[in-house]
Amino acid sequence: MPDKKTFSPLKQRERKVAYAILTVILIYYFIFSAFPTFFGVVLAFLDWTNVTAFPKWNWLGNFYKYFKSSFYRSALFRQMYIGTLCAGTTMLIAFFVALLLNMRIRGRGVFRTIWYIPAVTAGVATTQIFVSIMDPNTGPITGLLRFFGHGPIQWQFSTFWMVVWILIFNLWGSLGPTAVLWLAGLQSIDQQLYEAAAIDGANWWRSLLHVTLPGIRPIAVYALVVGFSGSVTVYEPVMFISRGGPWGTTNVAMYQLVTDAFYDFNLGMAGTNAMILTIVALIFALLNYKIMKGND
Amino acid sequence: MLYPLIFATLCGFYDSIGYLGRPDTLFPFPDKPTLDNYRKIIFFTTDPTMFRYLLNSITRTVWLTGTRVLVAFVAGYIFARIEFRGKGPIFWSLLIGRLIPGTVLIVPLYIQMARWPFAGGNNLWGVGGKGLLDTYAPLFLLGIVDIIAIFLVRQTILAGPLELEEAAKIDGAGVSRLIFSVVAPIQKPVLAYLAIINGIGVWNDWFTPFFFTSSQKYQVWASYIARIVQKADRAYAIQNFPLVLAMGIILTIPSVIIFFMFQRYIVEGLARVGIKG
Repeated sequence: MPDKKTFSPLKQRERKVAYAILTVILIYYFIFSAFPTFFGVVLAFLDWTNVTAFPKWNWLGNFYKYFKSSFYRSALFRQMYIGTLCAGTTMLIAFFVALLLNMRIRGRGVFRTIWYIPAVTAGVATTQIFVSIMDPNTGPITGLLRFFGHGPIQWQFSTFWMVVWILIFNLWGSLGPTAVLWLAGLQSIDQQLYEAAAIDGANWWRSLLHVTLPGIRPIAVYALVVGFSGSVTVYEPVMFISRGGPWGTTNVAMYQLVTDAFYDFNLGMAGTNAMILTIVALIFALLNYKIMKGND
Repeated sequence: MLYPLIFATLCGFYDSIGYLGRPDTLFPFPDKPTLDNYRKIIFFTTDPTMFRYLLNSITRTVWLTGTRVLVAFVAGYIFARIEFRGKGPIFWSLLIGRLIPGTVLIVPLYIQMARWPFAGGNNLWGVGGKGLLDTYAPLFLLGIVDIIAIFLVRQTILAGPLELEEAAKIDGAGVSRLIFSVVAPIQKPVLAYLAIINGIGVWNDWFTPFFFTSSQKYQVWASYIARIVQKADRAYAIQNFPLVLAMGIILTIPSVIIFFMFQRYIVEGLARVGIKG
């Protein structure tokens, strides 16, 4: 840390200014971040079904309802498995994309850009593009199927296909940034390690295993933690493409939260949902962190 | 990767009836391409409310990006360079609070907005009216302090040249002169990254206006599209789908342009967050 014992008069003034500014920021943070968090926890214990009515304390009633009813349980389960599916495939594929992008081809900057663009789009617009693309009547996918002699597939009525489309949508948007992240990790590996491995007679696969993978461990930790805990909040494709899927079969917990809170005004359950989701997200993050660190 | 965007741009040239009969090829070029949809949006001739949405989007983006970067920069500098009691614990507790995914805070925030004392017909206890819902407040007040941004600025300042700052102090620079004229130019990459990422993020943000406001005049471009899509849930048919696609493309264009112009900062910034995170 820099030596702070010189420049004394400025130090006093600095500190006052620092305190003043920080106080404002902390007050803001308290009102809009800290307090909502506590409030959210309290919500989980309330029975509150109307913003204008008064809430009733419900102890663990909400939680009981949550875990007893297969409705909420399955919503949570779906959020988990769809989220993990998305996060896992994204990270895996993005890694190989990063390997490709790392190669010294001309115009790779352009490729990198193209891969990243979907990430700056707005979900609300791009989901509709996907709806249009997969339209069983006049969508290009149907055209492709027709080309191969297959009839149109009614995606909306199949849970399997809806999950596939959610996955595709998620991949489309997340591959870019994840690949860039992996790329940064790849490029931080000392080239000399590769040369040493080559001298020792390692082929492409072995150098990948023994140089690349260990080298990207730090980035991998970050990517896994962020990726998996971020996956807990997948909801845009559910909200705008499948709308809970064929008869609620892609109803993920996040979507249920939104429905509860803003359409049914069941604020208590929404709070419970939120709290459970948060806990799961934290557990995921912790697990990932432990696993990656534990391998050392 | 770009295919969906190209596809949507093409579809935007259909009129709503022709769209239903579009060929199911990969690149449906319309028989009778019409500029109607794009014209409607760009020249606001048939729909002056669209201008309102665009204006809201622009003001909100500029405001939130500006405040966010400013707060992140100043707070980051404070945490990096100024010593004061309790600095460590405060910083780390702020960071821990960030582990909670933002979307789950929506419900408490919504209630807070609705029950804000003395706003929108509320009394001291926040009962009675609509509070701050359906006003400009949630659009412009929420989301200004971002701990990750503060953290990022702090890290880059700590890694930066102390000598320049010390030299400026010796020359008698006051605090504000110090940070704005000396430190800021050095930190341009980080600040640029924050500005771009946040700018694009706010521009694309449909969630907050969608759930915290209901009147037409508060909508932003992104949330307007969201409303059309949501309404369609009931009827299961959006009347003018090509228009929606065209609006989506218009929403995307500024982000793509900004991205092209500044991609260097984005890629660098992302990598830096990853390596330091």
